[in-house]
Amino acid sequence: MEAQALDNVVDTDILVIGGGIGGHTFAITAKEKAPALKVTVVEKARAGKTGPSALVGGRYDGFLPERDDFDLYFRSRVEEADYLCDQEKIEDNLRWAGDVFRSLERWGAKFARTGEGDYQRPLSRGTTRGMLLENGGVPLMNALNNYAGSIGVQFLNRIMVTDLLSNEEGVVGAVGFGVRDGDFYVFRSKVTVLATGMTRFKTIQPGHRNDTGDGYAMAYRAGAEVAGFDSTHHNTYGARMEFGPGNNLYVGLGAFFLNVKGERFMHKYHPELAERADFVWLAPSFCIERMEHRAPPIYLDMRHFTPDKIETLWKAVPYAMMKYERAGVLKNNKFVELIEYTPEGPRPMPSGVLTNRNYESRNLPGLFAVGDVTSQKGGGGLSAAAISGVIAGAFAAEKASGNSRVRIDGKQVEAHKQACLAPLKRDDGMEPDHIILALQEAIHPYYVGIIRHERRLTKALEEVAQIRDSLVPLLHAYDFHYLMSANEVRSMVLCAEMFLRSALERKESRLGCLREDYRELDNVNWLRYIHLKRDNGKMKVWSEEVPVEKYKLKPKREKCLHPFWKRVEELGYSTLVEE
Amino acid sequence: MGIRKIDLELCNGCGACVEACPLDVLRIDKATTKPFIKYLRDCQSCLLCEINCPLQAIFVSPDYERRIPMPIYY
Ligand SMILES: Cc1cc2nc3c(=O)[nH]c(=O)nc-3n(C[C@H](O)[C@H](O)[C@H](O)COP(=O)(O)OP(=O)(O)OC[C@H]3O[C@@H](n4cnc5c(N)ncnc54)[C@H](O)[C@@H]3O)c2cc1C
Ligand code: SF4
Ligand code: SF4
Repeated sequence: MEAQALDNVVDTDILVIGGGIGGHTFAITAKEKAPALKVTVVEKARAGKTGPSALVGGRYDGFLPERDDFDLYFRSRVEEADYLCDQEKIEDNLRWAGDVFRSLERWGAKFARTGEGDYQRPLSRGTTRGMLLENGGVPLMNALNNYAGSIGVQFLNRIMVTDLLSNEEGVVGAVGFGVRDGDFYVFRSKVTVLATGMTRFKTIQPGHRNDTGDGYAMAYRAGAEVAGFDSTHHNTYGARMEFGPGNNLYVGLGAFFLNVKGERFMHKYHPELAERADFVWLAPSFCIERMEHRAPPIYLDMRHFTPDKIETLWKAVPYAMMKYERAGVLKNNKFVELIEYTPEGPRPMPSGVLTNRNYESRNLPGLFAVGDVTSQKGGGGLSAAAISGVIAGAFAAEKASGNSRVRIDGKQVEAHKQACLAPLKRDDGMEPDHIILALQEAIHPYYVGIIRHERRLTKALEEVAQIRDSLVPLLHAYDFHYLMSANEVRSMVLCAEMFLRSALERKESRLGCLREDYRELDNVNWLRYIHLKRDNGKMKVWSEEVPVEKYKLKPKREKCLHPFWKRVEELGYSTLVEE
Repeated sequence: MGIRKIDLELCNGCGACVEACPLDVLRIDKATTKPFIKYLRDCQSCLLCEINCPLQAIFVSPDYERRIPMPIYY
């Protein structure tokens, strides 16, 4: 059975799933390389206006080749990743950074400049400097969206893609439904790219709640190899109000974190960077304060900010500033109150589809993954998403020009359709919201996601399995909007299982996987990625060596107490969660 | 509270807020052609509806609309 007879069939040479910065730079590059190709972006919200790319904290993690020290940036990225990274992709990222930055400007992006006309390069998190977007991500994404439209990229908004289509040759399209009208769509494409971002399990922090790991889930269900779910990063955000974004900037400008006694503490945990320490250091420090009964609450303190700093914030994160004003935290351009803060729930990172240097899936031809949905992208945030989109877009355009028309399996379409529409067809059942809360309650406690132990990870996995087996089959959608939520729940439950199974596999502490029961950073046995794949309907977990021997930088092949645990021990603080 | 108010006197029904909302919180009332808040619980206080409104008819307050478990409050 061909799909034609079934539903709305959209034929396109290149299908881009997700309209954030990675989806845009991919689509623009492919279209500019091969203008005759049809390039279609499908987005469940509104491409270019919404999603994390539009709601960023204003920092563009940019390396400027004519000014910055290549070796310094390269080394800092490798070391920040505890060597759990693809050094070839880091090299590609840095080599392409200048060109992509200039392309972004050509496409209409505006970066803040100093009075002398130079780029502003404020201090931020970590050791390297970036650029600053003028007025944040909203104008950036507007510009990219307008530019893409002007060269003929097509956009289909408010359609949630739920599954990939494949045949023996690889991935050949996807299916989805309109979240406002319920229409079912079949996309047939020569090349398909996931640009769906990551997942944060609908935790705090405005901006990320469109990213529910749908790309991870559909890649996994289609049989793609995925990696990196053992590591999670936890940003820190307002515990009482929906504040933000802007964390990297706040700490770059000198914001403090205070514990319940009103004392700064981050300089103890990380004497060099203090509040500017990376999230994999910051969030665990909050947890140790909690274990030492000096939190919650933890506060963000910006009361000492001078007018020039306030002005920088108004330029880079204007909407965050409006919210501070509304909450009475910012009065007459001065922060007058402390802001209660907490780490967010787990966010697997760097995780996603295992891809080669062109960002094509390692085992599913025709499937690309760019931005936050790819497991290794050579950098972080906006710039890595933009650069991976450009690298992959050029390659994909070539590939799509060569490929011939693809055939779709009608039975597969029907099976995917039944699975995604099931919550709507059920007469009665559970609200997606209830299951989201149950999932968060299983994985959000700090002693599950941040300070980990086999016992607690196993218990959380049992809870998630229970949700998967008993609650997900009861998912009920009142309408198409709730059908989107129900399908997001399907993705998130799968992602939670990926995270917990991968975290259990790593028997050491590294990057965003801090184990109370395995405190060593073990470069003898564990310089390994954790991989996952669907195998006979089951989640197969295995590990593979990071090929450091062929890389520029090699760590010493030795075991040592993980530097975070070492520091906590030196401070004489507790390293055990009270159970 | 998230999105709290749409001033229907000021509103001209242009639909920009409904178009912009990342989480599909808002919809247009076919009869009046003006927007209404349909899925309040999904609001994330991002302000995009408000800043996209040409007539300043929307007000958003940055309060949580849902209960979200916070890691260190366990
Ligand atoms: C609040 C916040 C602040 C941040 N601040 C910064 C910063 O200052 N600097 C920085 O460099 N980085 C920052 N980041 C990170 C940065 O936003 C991301 O790394 C980057 O935007 C990722 O881009 P992307 O294209 O991979 O995906 P995203 O921008 O996440 O876009 C993914 C898109 O896919 C869509 N989508 C998802 N699932 C589906 C589906 N099933 N069907 C159809 N469409 C789908 C989503 O709606 C979304 O629009 C921040 C992130 C957040 C959340
Ligand atoms: S504040 Fe954001 S999420 Fe809430 S209604 Fe407005 S646009 Fe939608
Ligand atoms: S953007 Fe403003 S004017 Fe336009 S429909 Fe919404 S509330 Fe009305």
